[in-house]
Amino acid sequence: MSAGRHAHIPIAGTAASQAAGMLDAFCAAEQLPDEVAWRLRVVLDEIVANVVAYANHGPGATMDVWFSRDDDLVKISVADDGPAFDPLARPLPNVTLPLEQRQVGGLGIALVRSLMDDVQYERTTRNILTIRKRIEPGGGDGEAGGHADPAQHS
Amino acid sequence: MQIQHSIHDGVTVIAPAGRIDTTTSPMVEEAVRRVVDSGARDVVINFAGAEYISSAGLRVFLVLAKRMRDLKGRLVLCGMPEPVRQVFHLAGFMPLFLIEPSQDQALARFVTQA
Repeated sequence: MSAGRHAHIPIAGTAASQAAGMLDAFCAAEQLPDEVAWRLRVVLDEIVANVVAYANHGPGATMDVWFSRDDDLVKISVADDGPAFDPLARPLPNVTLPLEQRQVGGLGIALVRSLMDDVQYERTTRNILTIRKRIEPGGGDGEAGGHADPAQHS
Repeated sequence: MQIQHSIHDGVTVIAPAGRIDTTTSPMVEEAVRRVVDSGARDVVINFAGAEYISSAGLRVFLVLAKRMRDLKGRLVLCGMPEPVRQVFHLAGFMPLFLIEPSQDQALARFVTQA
């Protein structure tokens, strides 16, 4: 079990890049395989963008982000002080519609659910979204980490 | 984020390198909007240098696809690394685009269909 990291981030235009910077440091310190790291980067971008878009915040509002790893399990939690908002209760977007009717709304949280092993929403006095991703043995680009792209680059 | 812009036999190629996310998507959006505004109707997006894409980036390419259809332009995506390919796949975006493995194969699309 490694020591967790915590960041207190202003909810503003640069929140996503600040959170991404924290995640980079965490991934480097934990030497997380690329296959796990890119998933975490996409997912954190979605979650922070969601908070910035939906949290009802005034000047000086902040969000908290926690990163931790316990053996092969990585956990990230994001908390904000906005009104209750459960992103998991949103309907999943219809990804079979033709181009003209396609929307991006709801796609972010759908990606979070697909890319992580576990997503949990909790309402205390805050909104707390927690995601978990298991590090597969031998991860990275090896056979255990999903299929390598068979496309040959010339 | 770096965005390369080149023209090959009249086909405009845009190659965004690095992370395509909430922070960088406005730059990508601006780059593709500028080339289409200036008249480009044959466009290739080469993702070979992209690290990953989040839904903020998907939005840019969805808007571009709709616009190219309205303008009767042609759009081909190529060079998708695995993280980009997986996100397009999970979002159900694969059927919305013409996708080729390499830039050469993407450019060949314009030759054979001309």
